[in-house]
Amino acid sequence: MPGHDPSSFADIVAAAEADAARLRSEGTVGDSYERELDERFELAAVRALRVPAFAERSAVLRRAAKRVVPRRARPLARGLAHRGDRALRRAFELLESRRHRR
Amino acid sequence: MTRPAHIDQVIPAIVEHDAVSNHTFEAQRLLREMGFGSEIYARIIGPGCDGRVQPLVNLRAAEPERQWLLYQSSIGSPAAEVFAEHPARKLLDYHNITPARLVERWLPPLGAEARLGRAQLARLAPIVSYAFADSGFNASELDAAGYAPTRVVPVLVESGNFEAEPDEESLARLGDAKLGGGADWLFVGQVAPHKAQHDVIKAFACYRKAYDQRARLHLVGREMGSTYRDALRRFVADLGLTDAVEITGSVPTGTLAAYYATADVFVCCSDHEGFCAPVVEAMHRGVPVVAYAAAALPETVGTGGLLLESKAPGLVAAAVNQVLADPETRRALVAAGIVQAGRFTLEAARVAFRDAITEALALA
Repeated sequence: MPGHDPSSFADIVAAAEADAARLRSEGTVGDSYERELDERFELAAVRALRVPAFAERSAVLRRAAKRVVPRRARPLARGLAHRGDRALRRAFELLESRRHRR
Repeated sequence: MTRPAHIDQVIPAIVEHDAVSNHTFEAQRLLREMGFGSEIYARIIGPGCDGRVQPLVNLRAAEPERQWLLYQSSIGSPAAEVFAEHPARKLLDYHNITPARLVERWLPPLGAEARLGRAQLARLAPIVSYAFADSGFNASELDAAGYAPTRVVPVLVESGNFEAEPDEESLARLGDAKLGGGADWLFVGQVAPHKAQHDVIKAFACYRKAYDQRARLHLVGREMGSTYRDALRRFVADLGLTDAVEITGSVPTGTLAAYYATADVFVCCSDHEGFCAPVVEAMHRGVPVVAYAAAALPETVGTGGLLLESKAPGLVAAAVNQVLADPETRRALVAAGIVQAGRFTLEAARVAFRDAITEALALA
């Protein structure tokens, strides 16, 4: 479209709106798919936001544990804490994915 | 008032590959060309900037008529308090502060800094004698905060970035991927919630579903914290798009040039941009732009790209398809983009900056 008037890009936007409406009516990219995308991102967000929360909690626990756990028992305590942390994360992921499936 | 010997700059943080930091270095060059002594004082100095920038604690007070200070405002910082208490005549250059509501969920400390920044902007208004901003959108925020007079001085974009040659290795890698077909979507900007890369991914997922299953998306830019990036990665994996979506992190200038050189379309769904230099670079490099018309984007994109009033994923996908499916539409957008980018040349920004300083001197 040589010499195309930029102000008439409005016609391209209008064509895009019409095509988006077609996709919606055909169900290719409908409301339910867009909603699903929103929900999936929200789930990813909730999961990602939990990681710093876990890390912060672990750091607090580690600092507290240093005061009460004798030095020679610390490797064992560290191993237990690591396993516990992993189990908690898994449980959380499982819960979230079940909630998402519902 | 006599002409000051120094116009020094104060900035909260200065880092490499950052538009405000580049602008500050270019402003320093211009101030020196205009015959002023000019140092940059930063509270945080990133790697690669030391030697060119002084720590803020080194800022000393000269006689007020001998030294002016120019504050680069883009976030809340104790640096603003140092600036406020300094006896020098004060100028302010505003690059916008991201609304806290857009970032605090992801990075609570950044949300707090953004709130502080807005509060500091309001507090500085009565003691700043002259202010300018890099877009009309930003200048209107200065007006609302009580600054007068205000002027628009576009970002002093480092021309080296725009003219950089694509890195051969990156070009070959991206070119190889193209051989298999499929369009290349590009967005360049900090990986941050207000840039809404998640909305670009949603639109991209719709585009793959409706139009082009071989399309690829490249999200280029340094990361603001890891949480939002992790959410994007999980989202991409959940959608089964790991092979199609690349989140690169910060890349060298030549690699960035390769991304622009191989992109078919630049898609921006940002909720907030004070200017958006990558849109200008995309237009300059002949990449058609499809953007959500938020904040300063209508002004930056102007008539050089497609502006959408909604960023519903289906609509963004359909708009990209309109651009890519018809070569004439694409050519028209590219031509319009080059014209629009021409309005933001470094030379034009330099003239505006010099004019602003000259006007500030005349008003003093």
